[in-house]
Amino acid sequence: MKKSIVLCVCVVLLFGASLLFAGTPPKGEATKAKGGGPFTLAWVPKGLGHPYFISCYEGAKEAAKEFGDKIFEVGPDDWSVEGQITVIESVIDQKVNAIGIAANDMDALAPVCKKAMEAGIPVVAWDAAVNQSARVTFVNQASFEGIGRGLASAMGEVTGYKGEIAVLSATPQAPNQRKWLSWVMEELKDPKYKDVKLVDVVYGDDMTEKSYDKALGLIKAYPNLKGIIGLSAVATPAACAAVTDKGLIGELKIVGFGIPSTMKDYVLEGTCQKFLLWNTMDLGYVAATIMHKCCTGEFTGKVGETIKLGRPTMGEPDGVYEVTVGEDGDPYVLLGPPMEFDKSNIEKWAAIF
Amino acid sequence: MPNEREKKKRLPLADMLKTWEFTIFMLLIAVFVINLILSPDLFRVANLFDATLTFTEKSILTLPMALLIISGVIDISVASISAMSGVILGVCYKAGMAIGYATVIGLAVGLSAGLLNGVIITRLKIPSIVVTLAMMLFYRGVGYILLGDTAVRDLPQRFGLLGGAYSSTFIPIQFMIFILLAVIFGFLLHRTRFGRLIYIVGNNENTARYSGVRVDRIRLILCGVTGLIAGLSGILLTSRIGSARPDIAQGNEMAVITICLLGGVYIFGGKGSIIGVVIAALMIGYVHYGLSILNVQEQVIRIFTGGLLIIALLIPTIASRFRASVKHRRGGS
Repeated sequence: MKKSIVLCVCVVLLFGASLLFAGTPPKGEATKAKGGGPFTLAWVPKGLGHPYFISCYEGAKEAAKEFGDKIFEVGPDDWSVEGQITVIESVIDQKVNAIGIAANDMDALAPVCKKAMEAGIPVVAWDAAVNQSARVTFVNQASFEGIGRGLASAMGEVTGYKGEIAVLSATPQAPNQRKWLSWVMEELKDPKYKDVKLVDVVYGDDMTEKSYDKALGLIKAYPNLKGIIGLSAVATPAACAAVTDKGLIGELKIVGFGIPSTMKDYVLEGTCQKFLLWNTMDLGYVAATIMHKCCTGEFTGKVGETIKLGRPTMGEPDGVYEVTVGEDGDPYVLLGPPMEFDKSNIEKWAAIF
Repeated sequence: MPNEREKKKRLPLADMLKTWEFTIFMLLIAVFVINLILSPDLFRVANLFDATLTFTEKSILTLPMALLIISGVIDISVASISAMSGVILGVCYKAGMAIGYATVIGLAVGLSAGLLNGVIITRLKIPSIVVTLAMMLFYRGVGYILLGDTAVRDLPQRFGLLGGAYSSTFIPIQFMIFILLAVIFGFLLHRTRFGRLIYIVGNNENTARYSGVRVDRIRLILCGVTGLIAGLSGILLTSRIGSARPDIAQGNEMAVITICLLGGVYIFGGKGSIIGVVIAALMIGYVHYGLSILNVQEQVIRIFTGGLLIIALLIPTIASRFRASVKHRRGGS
């Protein structure tokens, strides 16, 4: 067993050696003055490889290019909370200048985002917030109420305000999913929906295959189902695919979120009557602009503060945004009203993103 | 193996060089050196300790898992036990229990889950991989039933210190726990009678039985210990992310088994050492950290880890083939 003792000694020596190396202070990053630039921005989506987040990143890159900042995208490949925490840990150690995050969980990401803030790295949440205490601000793509009510009323319209409907959501923990769902339910309480019955809410974990299977499950379980609301840009096309494969086009109607390029065929063939989305490139653009302004110190996230963008967006033609107070009492930046896509405008937007 | 012992007396150093522990220790050094070259500024001691936070929960689980595998049993339900322990801790806290008691209950849940696995494996004589596959689904399900779609938030601040997360201690508490446990498990396996029995049981179950070793009792104890540590791992993770959730620790069982195998634990039992496992845990952890600090995407890191395991498993086979062929050629000429 001598060898294990020798090995122990070696391990200790190794740590000692790394201590010596550690003595040298970090060059470059620490001395970089605030207010100057260019800055390094870490862009952390919920996960990798999804068209929605890819298009957000496109917008972010546009803003970074405008300022001459360096931006890079890192995210968990399994869309998990722990994976995202690990990613944030590593970008903190890299001493990036700002972090933009679409949080997989509002609370679980808070400790590590707080750590980043304490290390002097501003955290800007976009798409899905982290707790107010752990962020500078949150770029909200659309008010939860507007989206939730919008989806429910679109559903009512296409089904003629009667019949059984179901919701296909992403994950039960994601804060945006929960809030949208609660606003959908709130809208359904209105007397004009008295013949509409929400029979089930199922979760596809934002994975295409699982969402597809869940949609098939809904079709099987509720033969009289008249509509499905897809609460994410993965759920909606998956539901459309299920409806198309079962030959129910026209009988079972789909509304929800979607990305024009992936939804184009379903809209044109009539599976999906209508879907909503904010301009994802604008979302990335606004968030990355704010990240840059946080680095320079021009933006601190106080209520009433305004920010001027380099170009107009779909929601704000003058390109000026203001920090407002959200439904939960926390300050945030609202991107603007969502767009409605249907047969009339789908082809134009599908070519864009 | 008297023959081997004789050899060791003659050439201790040469013998040591041939050991598996030495091979992966060299790999660990290589990982450090490569990391120092690739990111000299970032690979600093504060960061090194900080980085342990992302893999300590898995690392502490490799210790009992190594013992378990050496004894010829495997438990793939550990990640689910972790999640269940964390969830039950959260539920107890939400019900108004003091966080200290809730933690003890979380540990107790882990211990009983492990013992339940052990009882089923030893009494019903069902292969452990089958039993724990079923229990993996069962325990995960319990977590989801208890918390459903929600998570317990707002766990107290001081509980967060346990996970070492962002505390002011230079060496995270988690990592100290890992080192302490490594010493305890190392002592248990390599220095006690119980440790020797573990090897005997894993080497040949039947022989052990006929020589009067209480095989089932040893395995039952090890299952219980594994469950207990799995519970501890879940509690540390819950503490680190500051909320109890049913979906934590997904896939940890595979990460833990990977580390054990890389550390030289023989999958069919009877072989392995704690020091090997500890080195493997550090190596995998720092490979992951080093790559993620270079912003290598997670998918690529996975390929890397898989490749490392394959290479590690191939080295002894290739080496023995090489040796055999050399011997053969010498004998032939």
